[in-house]
Amino acid sequence: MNNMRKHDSDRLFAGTLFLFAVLLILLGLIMVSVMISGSWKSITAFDFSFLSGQIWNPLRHSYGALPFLYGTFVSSLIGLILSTVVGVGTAILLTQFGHIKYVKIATILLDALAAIPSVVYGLWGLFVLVPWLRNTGEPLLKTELGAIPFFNGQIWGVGLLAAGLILGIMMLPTIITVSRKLLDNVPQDLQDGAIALGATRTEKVRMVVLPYSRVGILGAVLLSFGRALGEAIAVTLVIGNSPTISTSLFEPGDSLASVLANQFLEASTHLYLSSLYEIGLVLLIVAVLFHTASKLLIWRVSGRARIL
Amino acid sequence: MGKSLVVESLSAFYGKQQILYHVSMTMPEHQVTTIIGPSGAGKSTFVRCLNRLHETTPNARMEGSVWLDHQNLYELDPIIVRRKVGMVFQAPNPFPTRTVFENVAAGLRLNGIRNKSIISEQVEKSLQLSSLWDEVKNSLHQPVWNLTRGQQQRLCIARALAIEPSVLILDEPASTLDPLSSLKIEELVEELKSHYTIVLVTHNLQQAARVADLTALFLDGELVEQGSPAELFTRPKDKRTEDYLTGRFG
Repeated sequence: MNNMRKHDSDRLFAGTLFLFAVLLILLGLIMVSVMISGSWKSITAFDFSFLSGQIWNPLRHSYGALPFLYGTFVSSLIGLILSTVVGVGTAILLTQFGHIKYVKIATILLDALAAIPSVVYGLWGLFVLVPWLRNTGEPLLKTELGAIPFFNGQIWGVGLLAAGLILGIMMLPTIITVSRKLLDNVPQDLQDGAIALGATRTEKVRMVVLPYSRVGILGAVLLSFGRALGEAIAVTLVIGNSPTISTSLFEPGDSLASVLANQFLEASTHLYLSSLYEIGLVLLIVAVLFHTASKLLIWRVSGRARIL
Repeated sequence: MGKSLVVESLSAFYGKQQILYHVSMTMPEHQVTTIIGPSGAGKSTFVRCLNRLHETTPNARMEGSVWLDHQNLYELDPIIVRRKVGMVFQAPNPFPTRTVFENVAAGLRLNGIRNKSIISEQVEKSLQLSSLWDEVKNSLHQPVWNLTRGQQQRLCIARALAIEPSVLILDEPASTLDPLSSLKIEELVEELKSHYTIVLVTHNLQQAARVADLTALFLDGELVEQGSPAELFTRPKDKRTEDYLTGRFG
């Protein structure tokens, strides 16, 4: 009898958990179906030209999402490059060259950085970074690297470069924290092996430490990139909110998440609202595709290297 | 190539904890010196002081001096010291992302050697010396995880030999290997001593007796006794040596 009751309680518990899991899947399906039905008008009206259209002008009922796709990828890519170089470099410094006391202080500061809400980053970007870019940073880039089309254009302050820099700064804590853990986990006997051959610390990092942890670092970088793609608030404050495609990184642009945050409340016609829904759908698909692709990549690379 | 290694009053510390107490001994050239003793006796710390690996651990330091061919190793650049004093570790630690060939070539490349024919020549020579050549000559550019653990350990020996050190330290090189691979390493040590001064840490007393020209017993961070294996194993001078050999502690 007693056994029976226990058995019943197990089934009840497992059943409840199962229900939660089903609810979660349902929730995902509902979300996708709402996005699709919301954007149906726009999908039927524009077909695939929605993705390739370069003009976004609600007053003339012209809805093309390409400027937002472009702005999203370019700003995230700038952030990715910046945060990878600086972040992995910082992690190497902390794990391989740092004094234990300073490493502890740095860790506390980095954790605090990760806890700052994105709107604060955005405001800092708007009031500190953007004026600096307008008066110092971008003029300098223009005179030094103006031959490259990316750094040749009218200077506004706000724009793709500002958005990319803010995203890079926001991605930094994650990349540093994850890379640091990975670098710390490189087996000591491998590192000793390199040192015993007469490697300097720098040579050891190049020979053993980075090759051993590269797959994990790639994972951290891709994960941060996925999050940068969907960042709305901080980007919207500094990107300039202009649906244009320009080679110059100084020019204003806009991103998928940013246009949603900006225009959803002011969408005055059904088609306008539906097009914004489709922007949301595109963002969802891009994020899921990217997530899956990065998982596949990590899986393939780690399969080859037999590490992690 | 081989030169004798002389240690004078060596003490080693981790933070405030003292690991070794005033160890003085000579490891003669072209001979095998085995270091025996129970776990925690300071054997590994002792050999890690010989190639200045000890000091790379945070809070670790040492006192005393180590001489190789009348040169105080602690007055040289540690990078140079490690190219003169090679080391093989307890568990095989080949660089996992590199091929067999690139593992052996690693030390040469660190020394700035770029000439391809010199590198391949030296890689082959080192693999011959570690008697691994016949087993890997057709898979030189394969990843190292295809090798058995015993082969990996001989690969690490080849990697250490490639830069032509004067001294080769082996820190319990067979302790994680199967008996057959272990025997192979032992045979290898016998062959290599004509070229190098060899320091072999082992907890296997039979092995120590078989391959050693000189044996030193460490207990609790002290060098208790040293001598030829025949002497040390049959007529120990120190009571503690006798106790250890008869299994009363350790």
